[in-house]
Parts: sequence; structure tokens; C-alpha cells
Amino acid sequence: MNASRSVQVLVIGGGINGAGVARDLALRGVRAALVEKNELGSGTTWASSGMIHGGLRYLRTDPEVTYHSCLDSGAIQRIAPHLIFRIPFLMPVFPEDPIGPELVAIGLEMYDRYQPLKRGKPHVRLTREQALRLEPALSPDIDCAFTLDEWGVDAARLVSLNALDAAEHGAQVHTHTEVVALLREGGSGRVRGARLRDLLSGDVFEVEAELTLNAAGPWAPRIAAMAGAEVRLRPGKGIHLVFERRVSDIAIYARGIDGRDMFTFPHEQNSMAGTTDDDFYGDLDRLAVSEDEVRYVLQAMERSIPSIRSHRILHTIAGVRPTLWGFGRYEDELSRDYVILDHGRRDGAPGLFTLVGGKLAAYRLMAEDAADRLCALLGVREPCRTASAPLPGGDDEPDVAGLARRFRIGWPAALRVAFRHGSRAPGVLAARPRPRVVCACEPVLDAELEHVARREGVATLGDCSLRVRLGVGACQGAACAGAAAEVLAEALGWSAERTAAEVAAFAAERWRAVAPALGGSQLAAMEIHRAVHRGARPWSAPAPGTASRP
Amino acid sequence: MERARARDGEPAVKAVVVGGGLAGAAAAWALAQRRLEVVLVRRGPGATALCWGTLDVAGASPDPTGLPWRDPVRGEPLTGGERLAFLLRSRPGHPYGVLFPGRDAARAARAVKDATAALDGWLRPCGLGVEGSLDETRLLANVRGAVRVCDFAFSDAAGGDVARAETLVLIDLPALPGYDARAAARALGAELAALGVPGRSLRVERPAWPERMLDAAACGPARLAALLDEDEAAAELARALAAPGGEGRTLLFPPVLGLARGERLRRALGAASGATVAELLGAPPWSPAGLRLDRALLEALGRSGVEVRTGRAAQILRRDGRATGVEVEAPEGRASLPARCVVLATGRFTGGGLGERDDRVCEALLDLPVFDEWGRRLDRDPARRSLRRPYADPQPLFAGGVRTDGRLRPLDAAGRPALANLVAAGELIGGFDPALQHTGLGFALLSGLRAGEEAAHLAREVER
Amino acid sequence: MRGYRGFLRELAHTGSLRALALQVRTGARHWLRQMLGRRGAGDPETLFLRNYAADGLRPPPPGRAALRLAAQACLVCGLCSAECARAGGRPLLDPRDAVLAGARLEIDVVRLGLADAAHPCGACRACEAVCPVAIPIARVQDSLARLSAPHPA
Repeated sequence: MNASRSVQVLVIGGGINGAGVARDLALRGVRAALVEKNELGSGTTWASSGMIHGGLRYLRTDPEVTYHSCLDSGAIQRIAPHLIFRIPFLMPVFPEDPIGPELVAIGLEMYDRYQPLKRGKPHVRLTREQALRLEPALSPDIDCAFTLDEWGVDAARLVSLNALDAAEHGAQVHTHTEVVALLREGGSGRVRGARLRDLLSGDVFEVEAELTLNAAGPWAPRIAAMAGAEVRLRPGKGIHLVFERRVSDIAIYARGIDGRDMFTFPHEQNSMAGTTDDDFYGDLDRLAVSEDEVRYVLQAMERSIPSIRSHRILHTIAGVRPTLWGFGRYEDELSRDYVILDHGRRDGAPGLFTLVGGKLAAYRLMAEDAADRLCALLGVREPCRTASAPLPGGDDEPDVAGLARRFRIGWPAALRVAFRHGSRAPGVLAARPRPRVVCACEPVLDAELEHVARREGVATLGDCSLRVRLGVGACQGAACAGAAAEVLAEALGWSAERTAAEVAAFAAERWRAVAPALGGSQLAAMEIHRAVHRGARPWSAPAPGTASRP
Repeated sequence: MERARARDGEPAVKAVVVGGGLAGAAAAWALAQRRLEVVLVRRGPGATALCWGTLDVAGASPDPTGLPWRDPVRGEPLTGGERLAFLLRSRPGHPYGVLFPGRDAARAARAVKDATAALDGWLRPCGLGVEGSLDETRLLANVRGAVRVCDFAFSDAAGGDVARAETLVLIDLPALPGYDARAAARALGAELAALGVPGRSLRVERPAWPERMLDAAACGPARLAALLDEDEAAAELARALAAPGGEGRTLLFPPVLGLARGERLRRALGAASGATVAELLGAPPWSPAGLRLDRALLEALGRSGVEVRTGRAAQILRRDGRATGVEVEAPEGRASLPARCVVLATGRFTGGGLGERDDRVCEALLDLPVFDEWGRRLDRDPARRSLRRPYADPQPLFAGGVRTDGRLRPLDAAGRPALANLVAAGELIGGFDPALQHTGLGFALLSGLRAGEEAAHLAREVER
Repeated sequence: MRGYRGFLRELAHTGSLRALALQVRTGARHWLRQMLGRRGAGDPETLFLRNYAADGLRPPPPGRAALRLAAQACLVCGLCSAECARAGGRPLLDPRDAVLAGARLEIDVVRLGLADAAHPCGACRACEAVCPVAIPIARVQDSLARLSAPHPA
């Protein structure tokens, strides 16, 4: 089936940059389409630490970057206040650290000047005893400690809210849709859109666009190559370990054995430890976390938190950063800068642009810059509104206790719905007369699952682990995947075989994420997980490993 | 309450069983029958309480590493006995081979019959029964509509064989979280098709559930089940069900039919509706079958004169190569229980018999060597070293446990019994994957009974 | 001077004149303050807690770390909820939800001032008797109850 749709801008890549640009364009009234081959944010964005930090490290190289990062961190807080949470940091200084405490103090004093831009608090210097009182799990070998704060965000949800806002302002959003080829004009080689394949239905269709923006992150070279253009990246793989619950309410710095700065930080209801940065030469679609990486991270954490190994690790997350190419430098020192490439001038493919590089905290700025360039070419004069217009749900603060009472759900469930949907939470909960908890670990309600299926374009069970954090808690889907699939099946009209296949794929994906760091008390949970998903699976489900992703 | 009476004039021989699941309970009964004074120490219910309603001796599994449902050559469904024989022949590492040397399928079948009859006898007075036989196979559906091919099941669900009934009616209970009768019916239809069972009539019906039952259901299945233990509630539900229905109907309820008095409730509902009433098997996150089994085991143990203590077994006390007792840590404090024999039925990771310590898989109490089903040591390495990353692969880590001699005594690194009077039972013994091979509870029962028998002999061998 | 180790290396890494100017300025001010013995205002610990009180941060009560380590072993089996219902308990948060979601969302309970976050369950401990991993559920419920704001009268 060939259906042709025509837009002004086609954005390829549904990560934070692509979604951000799509939103910016849509808010300016530009007709746009966003395509993503997997689920929104499932690439680099999902694997990021979710911190919209102010770029402390850039103070020594380029304070401009710090200034803009902090400014934009403030902007994200304004437009999505429900999605963010403050993370106080503790930076312990050990006697053998290469940088002395006075230098750390100076650095943080410099950073204090920028903190008000993002509603941050000034740093505090603690003695060893004071630090240990605040966080008893800290290593007693420290000299002193410093504190600062950053903000964290649910990155996957930020992406989907950007895409949702774009869709609500007229953009087309196609997930599980990959680019088969870029459409070129014969003589000039002008790129005028793309041919796409819906991976779920198999349909092939074309979208014609005046301008095409390649925002595919680490996959950007692959897309650009379809037009004979070159985008040079130095992909950097990073992993995180996710703990079952907060190790501490304060993020704690740790240093790797090779000196890399990492931290164990609270992220929503868990703690995450990370991250690494290693040059990656492998297959972007088959990222595997190695035992080395897990042990490297744990070794680093152990120095700051000696008891870290007694905490239960749920699973690992891996992603690849689309870092700009630079030869001869250590990964940490590479620029986090971004670039907008015009392939018309460079590679004889006019109409194609690439937006690549950068970091999560700067996404809105990058999107604004890219949208400005594209709008100038389209002759659109509308100003950018993304810094002031709130994201869906961000316009008002929901009343958690009121929600719990009104819909007769427990306060944990009300809290999480309010976190994900902000002021729209009442509308979400109204989808079912009596909302009930499906995933106890998060919690996720059946009303929320139905809402995201019907109104947010969720198409597979796997999408839900990003969209609403289904099955990424203690049970890893053992207790909830079956029931959640039934809710989606009703909303999306799945057959029994499709439902069983979705559950099987979900279970396999959770295993893939858990296996690299499996040990300790997580073993019992996975024993049960296997009994449920491999032992008690339906006879009509495909055998594990034989089904292609539905 | 009867306590075990020692033979006249002799002081009671003491035995300690560590582990509170089915294997531990079976061992405790076997010891009590042989007139030992038994103390059962348990931290909690273990994996037994996560049972979904079947007692798999040799259940069939859709997984390729499990037992087949149909004979690969003849194409007919296999009976439980045939599957058991197949297992004994084709899985040399499975510890059924230790219980039944020479892979004597006939002897195994007799042992199964005796064991399940004994279990039924112990549990019936506590409100739970065991039904089934190795001469047939039962197809039972769970709340998701998935089918379990099993040989034995507990009486709450046993009547719901989906291959026997002419008309299957799934009872809808919309307020119940995690249960969607229509989705279950659709899935069940696909299951029956996948299994090649000729078409049944499959329907969903919603009786006029009384309001207070819907409210209870909304709080979770357990609350409704507890409510239905009351006579009044049971009668009310029976009235709501009274409807003229054709013969040959089987009503399949979600697992809410009482926590303690399910038998009586099912009979009442069956009488009211004129149909066979059974429960669907449970599925996570909660199944009442496990809780009922656990409660029934505790009650039956009490009746048999076994003392049950809640606490953590901290240490096995030993001297000269023999176990002399168990040190228990309880909320009240530490206690040392003397014993002439000890049975370890501590399970695997869920039960706490196996764990990971100092970056090494280990058996929790004695640091016994842990083997996978091919005889490879697992306890020298961390758990992740034995993991296979591909999801579809068999996992040696989850098929691992201790290895025993012919008398069920776990072996040390040199291949000798670790302690002369210490035996093991249940999942702690390695060589099979309970998730995939569906032999878990059956093996727990059979090995528990045998372990108790052996332990009783070993205890008395000291005296001579 | 020991506290200033690494000073030269940092100087070598400075990327721009502007950064250098900022560092020198801040560094000089800091050094002067140290020399003149001027300390910052207020006790740092109090300052830290005050800064983040609105985000729910509180000084860690004793025993919290141990409780977290015990609660993290949850298998999501649901036996505790079932047993609680059988024993006729009616806590505001059923035990499984308390261990899983409730205890993980502690900081939000404090931040939002949720009242009665776990109306003291009867503490009959029926749930603890069936927990396969021996989680002290009653203590978890108790710690949640203590965190929440008192119920508005």
C-alpha cells in the first residue's frame, strides 16, 4: 500500500533532538513529520543518565557552554515541572585525589554564579564527620566533601511529551517506522523526503518534504549515507546500572580506577550508577553490556560507597553517544558540542540537514537553532516558543492526594501518574471507571496503559517500559507483563497470538537487560521470572528466540 | 494433638528438618511416621507458596527442553506415566534417577501413586486435596487463558480440565485487578487450537455478583477469597449463580473461591448451578493455591505432631563427620536444636538454599559444592559466569543444586557424603530446571518422603 | 598548600581566556578569604538540609539503610497482601505496595507532605510470617507512617 503524505519538514529520528525539533517546528505552524524506527527515545536518550545538568566541567574550558546549559536547564524546568526532580550531589575528596579540596571549592564557587539560572543552590563544604552524618554509607576514608545540585528528568517521557505536543499541533508522528530510502530528485540530487516502512504492519509509504532533517543520533551516518553524504562521528558507549531502590537520596561522586568521574545518583525511585564512555565500533542495534563494564562501574562506586555491592542491581542500560569526531583525545575530553550540517553545500544533497552531537540538557537550544535554520529556508517567521510554552501536562500542578481520593487509588499510584502526566492526570485516570494497579513496582495503572495506547501512539508492550516504566522494577515483568498485555490487547485489538508474542518479546528484552549484572538477591527474582515467562508461557506463543520483534 | 511416641522405654530420637516447603513437610511426615521427634525450622514458605495449583510430577511444557505433550512418533497425547518414563530414559542428570535407580518406570509410578495418595490423606482434613493420576493428563487453564498440561493438581483447580468439558464458561469478574475474562477466553481458544484439542464451546458469563463482593474484589483477589470463606457470602454467591444451564458445563472461576474452605464453596456453587465448578490456575502476582497449600501443610504438620519453628537456620552443628544439631536464629533469640539426623530442604534462590556470597554462587548453610545438570561446578564462580546471554538458551545456573549419593546425602567436593547423617530434599538437589521441566513439586514430594525415610535409618544407625 | 594540589594541571587545561580570567578571579578571592580566616555563614550541615528540605531531604534516621536493604529483596509474590486480607487487616497501603512502591517513594512522601502515607497497619505481622525473603514489613509500614505529615484534624 502506498500512501503519500506531504509535509514541509521530515525529521528522522525520534530521540530528544528529533522530538524537540518536531515540537519547535509544529509550534511555529510548520507542517512536520517525525519518524522513528523503534520507540520514541529508545536510542541514546533512554540510556542517558537523565540529568539536565549545567555542565560544571565546561567551566575550565568554555564558560559559555556552562552558561547556556544552566539557562536551558532552567527552561526545561519551566516547561515540564512535573517531570523533573532535584538531585543534591555529594563530592567526596579523598586524600590521594589529584585535585585538592581548595581547587574543588574554587570550581564550585565559580559554578555557584550559574546556579540561580536553574534554581540551584550554592555549594556547601562539609567536614568528614558532617558528610558521614548526612550520608552514613559514605566511605570513612574521605578528607572532606562538597555538595552541589543538579536536576534529573525522565528522559524517555520528555521525548514523548515533545512528540505529543508536536502531534497536538499538527505534526505526524510515526513510530516503529524505518527509513528505507531517501527520495531524491533526478538532476539536482535534491532530497525531497523518504520512503518509509512500518515495521509492525509491513506497509511501505512515502512522505514528501521540502526539507529533511537527520536527527538520528548515532545512526545519523547511516541515514546520511543514503544520500551519499558523510557524517563523521566517534560513537561513545555508556552504561548504567540500575539499583532496585535508592541507595541514597544524595548523588555521590565516585572515581573510576582510571580516573573517570562517575556517580551513583537517585533517579526517580531507583539509584543509577554510571557512566562509562568507550569508543564503540560495533552494531548499534545489538548493544550488549559486558562483564568488564559492570565490574568497572562497581569498583568505582565501592571506593565512595563501600557497601555498594550489597545493594540489589535490577538491570543495566546501555547506549551510544553520537559524539562529534575528534582524533587522538581521550573520550572524556571530546566535545559535547553539536553541529548542524547542510549537506547541500558539502555533499551535493540539498534539502538534507543533519543535527548531531550535543547533550540532553541542551536539547531545546539545539532544536531551536535547527528550527531557526529550517524556518529561514522555508520563509516561516514565527518565533520559537519552546522555552515558554509548557509541555503537555506542565501547565499546572496536580493534587496528588486529591487524585488518590477521587479515583480511589493508592497514593503511590497517584503520585506516579501525576509525575508522568502532570495536569492531565485526571483525564488519564478517567479512562477507566475504577483504575487498578497493573505493575505494582512502579506503580502503573490500567487506565494509564489504556491512555497511552489510545492517545499517545504506544504500539507494543516494549514501548510501555519507556513510556510508563512498566516492568522495569523488582519483578522485571514477571508479575505484570501478562496483565498489561491484556489491557493493550483490548485497546489496540491484538489477537491472542499477538498478545502472547508481545509478552514473550518483553520477557526476552528484560532478560537481555538483566543478565549482564545478574547476581545477589536478583537471582531469586529471575528464578521466578523464568518460571512465569518460560515455564508458564502459552502453548500458542512463539518459542523464545524464534519470534522476530512483532 | 498427637505427638510422636517413641518406642517403649526409649528416649525419642530427634530430627530437624530445615525448610518449610513441600519437600521439608514431606520429610517431616516421613520422620514422624517412623516415630522420630521432629522439629521443622522455616524462614518462610519458600517456592512452594508460589505454586499455581498444579503438582507436577512430570508435566509437559511448551519449552523445547521440557517434556512433550504429544508422542513425537504416534502423535497422541502422552499420559503422565509415559512422560515420566521418557524423563527417566532421556534425562540422565535428573535426580529422579537417584530416587529410582535403574530408571525403573514402573517402580517410579508406584511410588508416585503412594506419595500422592499419602499427601492427599494428610491435606484433606485441612481442606485441600490432591487429584489426578499418571494414567491420564489434565489440561488446566490459568487466569491468562494459558494451558498447563499436568498430571496432578490440587482440588481447587483439578476439576477444570478444559479438554474434558463440553462447554467451558469463564466467569467474568470485572472488578478483579489483573483478570480479564474475555481476554482469557480468547487466549484459551488459541491455546486449544495450538494444542490440537478439538473445538470446545467457550463462553464468558457474568453472574450478578453482589455489590460487596465487587468491592472486595477491587481490593484484590485475596480479600474476596477471604470473604467467600464465610457461609453467608457463599450462600449469597450460590444464589447469584442459580441459573438453568445445560449439562456438561464447566464454570471456571478466577482463583477467589475461598482461602480455607474452597471445597465446600465449590460444592455449593456446583449444586446451585448444576455445573462443574472449578478455579482457574493462578498466575502472578498472586495465586491463592500456594497460600492454601502452605497453610494446609502447616496445619497437617501440627496434626502429625511435628513442631514447627519460625526462624533462620544459622548453622549446622557437627562433630566427627556427623551433624549433631541445628542452630536457629529466631525473633526470640538463638536456640540450638539437637538432632540425630538433619534434612536440608532449603530450596534454591527463592527458598534461600542457594545464594551468592563473596562473588560466588554457594549453598547457604554448609557451603556444599553446587553442580549443574551436567555435573559442572557452579560454586567456584559468580552467578553471571554460568549465565547464557541468549534468552532461549537453557540456563545451567537455574538447574543447579547439590549432588547426592543414593541415600540422598549431599556430597562434598571429594564426592563423599558431607555429613553421615545429613540428607537433602527438594529443589536444593540440582539436576533439573523446575521452571522449564515442570517436575518441581512432584520431586519435592517424592524426595522429601525418601529423605525422611533415609534420615530415620541414618539416625538409628548411630544408636547401634 | 596541600589543598591546592593540581593547580598547575588545571591551569594547563584551561580552554579559553575567559575561563582563565574567571578561575583566577575566583581563586584569588577564595585564597584571600582563607587567609583572612573568614568562614561562610552558618553551619554547613544545617545549610545543606535547609537548602533541600523542600525537596523532601531529611537527615537519615538510624536504621533506614538497614530497612532499605531488607526491603529491596522483594519478589513481588503478593503473599503478604493475601495473608493480610486473610487476617482481616485493612491498612491504607497493602503490604506489597508498601514494600515496593511506598518505601521507594519515601522522599516524595516528605516532599509533598502526604498525610497518613501508611495509616498504621495493625502490625499483626501476618504478612511477615509468609514473606519468602523475611522482609520486616511491619517496620516498613511504620517507617512510612512516621514520614508522613500528621493527618489534618
